[in-house]
Amino acid sequence: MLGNLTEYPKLSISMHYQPADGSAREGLQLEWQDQPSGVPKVIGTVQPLKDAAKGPTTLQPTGEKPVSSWVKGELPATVISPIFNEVRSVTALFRIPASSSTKTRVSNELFSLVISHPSLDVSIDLVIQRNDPALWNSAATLWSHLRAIMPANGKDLIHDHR
Amino acid sequence: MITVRHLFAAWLALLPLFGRAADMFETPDHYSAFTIDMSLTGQGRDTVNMHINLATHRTPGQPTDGMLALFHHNRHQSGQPIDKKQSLAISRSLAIALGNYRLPSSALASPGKVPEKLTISISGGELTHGSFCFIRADSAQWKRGADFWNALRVMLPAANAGDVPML
Repeated sequence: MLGNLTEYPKLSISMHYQPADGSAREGLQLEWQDQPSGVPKVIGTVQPLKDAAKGPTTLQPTGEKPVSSWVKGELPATVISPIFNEVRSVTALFRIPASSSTKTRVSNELFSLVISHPSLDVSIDLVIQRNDPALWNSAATLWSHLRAIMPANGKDLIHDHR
Repeated sequence: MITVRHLFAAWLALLPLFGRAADMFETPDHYSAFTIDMSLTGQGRDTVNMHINLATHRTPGQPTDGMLALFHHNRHQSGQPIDKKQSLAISRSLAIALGNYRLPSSALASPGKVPEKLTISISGGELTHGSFCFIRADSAQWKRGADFWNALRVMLPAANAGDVPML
């Protein structure tokens, strides 16, 4: 679903996780843009679960500015390539389940993965369920690695789901 | 003169295409129950949506194998029953449209301009599903998406087909 990295001088990769009770989501985003200097500007953003007292949270639609609770920070350009390759691996595993499949939904838990051009409404949106274990594990690993590179004060705000 | 060597070379050349087409779909014939939403925007036109609901089995009160519905100006314009043959044709066309899907290159996008865009979303109900955008500037890929759009358009009743542009 993705070409070579050189085809995407700017790109945004967003992931959200919804727990089994479906009550709230947490998210993270990696966005980069080539600069005239030759060194891309990379921004990592983390969306923690909101305070339960404020009621259920909702997924921030792609293209909307992050809410104030997002934690944002600049990251080194070296994070782009390994994450991009990992995203390609996840998308390569993506399958539309057959109607005749014996796969059934095993929980409300899901990852949503959105790969889009920043500021442009052109994207791939994937919703990944546990009924496909290989795809799920790949997505959970991507989440974990994204979490690990996020700004230091942000990764402590969201959970690992492997 | 076509030799065995030529045929073998052609088979080798086409092999990746078949392999890729099978990537996202196990086999097209295995898809008899899911929903497809298509949305066409840009070029200053109003958004046109086509919605296809494929049913697994015929049940009492539902004497079709699915429905193809057209939405225009956010208003339901028409609903067209689909038989099993059409349902299978739709699944096969969809597999061709999405089999080699790639996110268009950033270089093809025009910042500040709304691209003419076709979005195909598939939902298997509660299972894994996805949504994919095509833009006209990405001409080869746009053609595959447009072929699918056009294939559905010809299934619409003649009275309503005029509301849907051919791509």
